[in-house]
Amino acid sequence: MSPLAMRSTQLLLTIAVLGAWELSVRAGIVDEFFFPLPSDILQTVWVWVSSGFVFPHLWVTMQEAILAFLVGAAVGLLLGFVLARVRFLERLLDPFLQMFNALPRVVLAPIFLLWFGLGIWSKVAFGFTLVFFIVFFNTLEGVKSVDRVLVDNARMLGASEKQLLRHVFIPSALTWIFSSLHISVGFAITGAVVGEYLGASAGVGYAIAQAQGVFDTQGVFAGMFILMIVVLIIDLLVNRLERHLLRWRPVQSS
Amino acid sequence: MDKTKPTLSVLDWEGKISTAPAKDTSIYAVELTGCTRQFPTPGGETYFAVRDINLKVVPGRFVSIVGPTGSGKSTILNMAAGLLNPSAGSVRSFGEPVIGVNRRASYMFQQDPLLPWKTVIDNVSLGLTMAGVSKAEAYSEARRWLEKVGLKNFADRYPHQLSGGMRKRTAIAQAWIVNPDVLLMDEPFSALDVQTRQIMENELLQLWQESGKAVVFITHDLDEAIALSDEVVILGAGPGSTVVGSYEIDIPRPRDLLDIRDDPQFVALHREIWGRLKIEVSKTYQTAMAEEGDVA
Repeated sequence: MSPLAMRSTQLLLTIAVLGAWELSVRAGIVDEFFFPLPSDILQTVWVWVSSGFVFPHLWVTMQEAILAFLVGAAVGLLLGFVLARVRFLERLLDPFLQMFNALPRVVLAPIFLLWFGLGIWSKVAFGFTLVFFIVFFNTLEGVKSVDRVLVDNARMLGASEKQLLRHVFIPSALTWIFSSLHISVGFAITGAVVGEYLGASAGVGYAIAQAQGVFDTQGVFAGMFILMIVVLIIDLLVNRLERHLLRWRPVQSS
Repeated sequence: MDKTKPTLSVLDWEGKISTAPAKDTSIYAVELTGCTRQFPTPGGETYFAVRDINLKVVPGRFVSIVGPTGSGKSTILNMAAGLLNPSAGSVRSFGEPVIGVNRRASYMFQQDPLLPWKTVIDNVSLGLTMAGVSKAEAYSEARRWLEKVGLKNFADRYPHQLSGGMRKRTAIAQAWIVNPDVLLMDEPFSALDVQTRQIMENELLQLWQESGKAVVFITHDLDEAIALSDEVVILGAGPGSTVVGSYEIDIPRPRDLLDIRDDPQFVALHREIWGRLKIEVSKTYQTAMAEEGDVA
């Protein structure tokens, strides 16, 4: 199937599903309170966007997600590299890291609310706990699985420990980190929204919680729709960055 | 690169050897004395890879090490490179004990050693840039080498875009650009098809003849060893193998590798050395059969 034909079929499928939804609500088969009309949802989205209501919330959510991602990725990378290079530390800290990783992160949200307040920092901390472990474990695995021959060859060519890191370990770990980047970016946003949902004064998660509080299902769906579009755009950007940074990799034929 | 070139003084030294043999230890490009290497096995026992290896390689000489499977050929090379410490014995290069990696040596690996995330020219110039040579200078030297190995139009490709033979050439340029005094080669051409392999052997000999570097070449292929070398060292059957013979190859140079296998001198040497190697190969084979019998 050609790409164009595939796209048209996908468009048709979307129209079919939304059309069926719209019709079954209008026909009274599905309760409009629980499943608002798609056309009404889109209208609410339009109102939120055109009135500018959603943008301050979106901005807060993005700030939280970006901070959570940056701090989580930085600490995860650093600790991943250090533990991969120092066997002793890895063995020492392994059980503790496993313990914290096993903890369902949502239970941390209330305690972070107490510690860091209703502002953005409780969400950053929450997103951090999600992002950190993904980046950390991937970095650790990435550095440990570097081809022995590449390391030996670089050492024979005179690489210092710092140069080994720069020319061999970091690029090699990048492939692992990038394979997890989509997940960790998604988790950063998840962390922000869930954190807001549980207690906040601004953000998309807060807006959704507010709409839910007054049984405004259209608002809940509109918030979901806007988040979905934003995450899709971010994922697209991550894809382009990945393609640029990993351009040395053979193209995988599908 | 501040690697000195002792090769220019080889002739002086060969003149002096009879009068001043005491200078011995300072002059071997690679000198393994009584080197033993053991590894602990998972079962808690000790496995001897090689035992009491003595190997002396004079600067400018091409020495091949041939042995049956599992005779610890790579272990010897890794000790000479400083990638592996001997459990007993000493490793010296130009009189200096090898601590950490051997700074006078380059290594050519059996596997592909190119960094997949660097272009061909970045791979080739890596040794220079890491030594602090400016990028412009390193690139111009790398271009010179790429031309030498016939890859000047491929400077901006990534390794995965090259054929196996081209990757090998890139690896050769990468190893030679730092102008090492010793080249350690671990079956560098074993992954290539037969024709490409012969071409690469010819090119290697040409490069080496211009350079006067010492080469330690590991192979399991006796033909290749005799065709290329000044000296062929035979290792015994493993484990715990050691040097069981050393043969001078006095076929005159330059050699034409494409016809050398018909040369009467080659044939005679091959018969003599194979006579010795055959014993070790069949020992290895019998051990393997016996082990298989144990398992069954």
